[in-house]
Amino acid sequence: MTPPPASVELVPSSTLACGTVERVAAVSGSALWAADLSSLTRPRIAVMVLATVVTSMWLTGGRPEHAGAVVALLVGTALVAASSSVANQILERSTDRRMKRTASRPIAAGRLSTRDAWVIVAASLGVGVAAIVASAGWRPAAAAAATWLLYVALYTPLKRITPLNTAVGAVAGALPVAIGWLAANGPERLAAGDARGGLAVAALATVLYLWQFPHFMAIAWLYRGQYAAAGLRMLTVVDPSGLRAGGQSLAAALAMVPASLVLAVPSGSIRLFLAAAVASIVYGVAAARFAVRRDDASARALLFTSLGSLLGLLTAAVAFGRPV
Amino acid sequence: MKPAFFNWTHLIACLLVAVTAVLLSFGALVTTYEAAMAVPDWPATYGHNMFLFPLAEWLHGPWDLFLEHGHRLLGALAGIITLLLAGVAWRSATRPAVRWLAVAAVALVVVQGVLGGARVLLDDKTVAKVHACTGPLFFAVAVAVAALSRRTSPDHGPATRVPVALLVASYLQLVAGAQLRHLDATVEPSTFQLLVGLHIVGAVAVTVLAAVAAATVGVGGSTSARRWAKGIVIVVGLQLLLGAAAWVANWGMPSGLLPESWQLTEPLRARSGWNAVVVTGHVVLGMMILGASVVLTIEVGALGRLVTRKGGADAAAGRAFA
Repeated sequence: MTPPPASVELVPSSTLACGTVERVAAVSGSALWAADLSSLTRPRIAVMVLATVVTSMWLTGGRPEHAGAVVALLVGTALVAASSSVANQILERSTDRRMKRTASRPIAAGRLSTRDAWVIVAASLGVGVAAIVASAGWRPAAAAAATWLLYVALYTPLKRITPLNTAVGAVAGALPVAIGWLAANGPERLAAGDARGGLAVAALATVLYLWQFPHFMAIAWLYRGQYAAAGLRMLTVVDPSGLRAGGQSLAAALAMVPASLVLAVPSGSIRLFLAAAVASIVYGVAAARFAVRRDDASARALLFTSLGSLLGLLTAAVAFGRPV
Repeated sequence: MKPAFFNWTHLIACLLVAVTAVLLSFGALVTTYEAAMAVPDWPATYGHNMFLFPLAEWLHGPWDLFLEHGHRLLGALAGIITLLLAGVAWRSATRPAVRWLAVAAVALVVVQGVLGGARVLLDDKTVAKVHACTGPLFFAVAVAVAALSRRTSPDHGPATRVPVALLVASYLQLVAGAQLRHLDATVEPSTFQLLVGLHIVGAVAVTVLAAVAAATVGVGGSTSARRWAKGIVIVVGLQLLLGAAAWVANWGMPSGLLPESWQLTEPLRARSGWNAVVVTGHVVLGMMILGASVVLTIEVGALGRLVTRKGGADAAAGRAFA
């Protein structure tokens, strides 16, 4: 990465008005480097991906035998997730510059050159996939690579073309479940007649797929002006009334209820069943509220509820969902 | 533009509500008579294509087989009607929420079908519980599509959030009830007492919310909303009686009022006709309360802005949901 203080000059003047860049210039070099690294790799998303992988492994086979292999698998998965995030920011650097929310990202702001960024992408992808192969075999590695490809090569360009991008991006968001399932020898367990774990993991993938619709519709609503300015065809840009975004959010949240409940199947845990019911119904109510009101407050509430309900669901699945 | 003579979305949605009500009643009977495994294969019925299973064997065979196979046929019929509804809603409904709710109904009916199959193939109580919770949710969505696809919007009265709370509480009550309906024989006494406690707390909550909703809607609410609210209060009262009767039919008389006295005993499997009616009726009535709560929520305007692009004046209705 280029030294931060000098690179502030590269930030387009239009982004200076937002205030973020002034703050960026004020902080020290190492703090900025850390902030840039965080902005590039988006660790919160990576943590969510890792939580998904762990939950998937747990629901498939319970406690894994080799903790070291699991750590290596998670490190590899985190690296692949980081790689996809950097690649996304390279491909979207021109639209990122036009959005206040993303203008200060290191590539969009010019603090990191595209060439250097591609090196980071290739290195983290290569090391990440190798770590997964070494710790869990080629099948989870292939699932991780497929997730990367879907996110970078399909979802990212689709954002400029069609509002259906969310439906495609949500597949990439749900695929980490397959990494955990394959790493925990899910296919062999299924072939041996253990269908309960397979059913729960299919439900987890469905939950994650559906969960993303209300979550991203809330974001798309909150930043609809910026998305429109950047030329990204989000549903809230195509339909500014929010009716379609609200309807889609509500439909997905409703469909998520039974999928959440199936997570309790391997363990037969009543506690997990009730926790899943409450988490998914609370999410459904927040989605319905957004669909009805279609304002910033309800979108913000939906966004926070989405994070809380997913975190609650995954925590309950790990705490109570150990297969019997 | 002149509207079409028939409002097909509304008509098909009403048909779906009617078929689903019968389907849910069959499902409740299947659980009451523990007939879920009467047909051990799926999606076939004793090796036959489900739709080609001999009619005489179905109608004149064992009662369990009649219930389970009938439940499957009704489920298939509901699935077909749901697909038809989604197609018609997508083509003709001008309200995006109606379209998306119809899509949600398709997703739910597919999931419900798979769950029904998994319940048989895995013979799993937890899958049965999920199946029991998805049915009412599907029913609620079907009712919402039917109510929201009417040509005329309800005449909104004062904004109130109570029907929304009633709707959520009545669904959670069905979730809690499903835990008791599909109890594992090995359940720990403390868990059993917790479930009974939850169901009783839920019953109190639904009763209070129904009464408050009726009182709130009664002041300034539309005639239709007042009727629905009163109807719900009456049905909830009946439901309380049925709940007590269902307890006795299922587990015998409790030895006291304290939670410690709620001990799980061997359920009374040999059911008389009346016992079955009471137990099944309790479940079906719970679903009807849920459906009526959906209608009441729409009648008071809490879901009104789902189907209108207007802001401003409609915001009052929207605030009701806040």
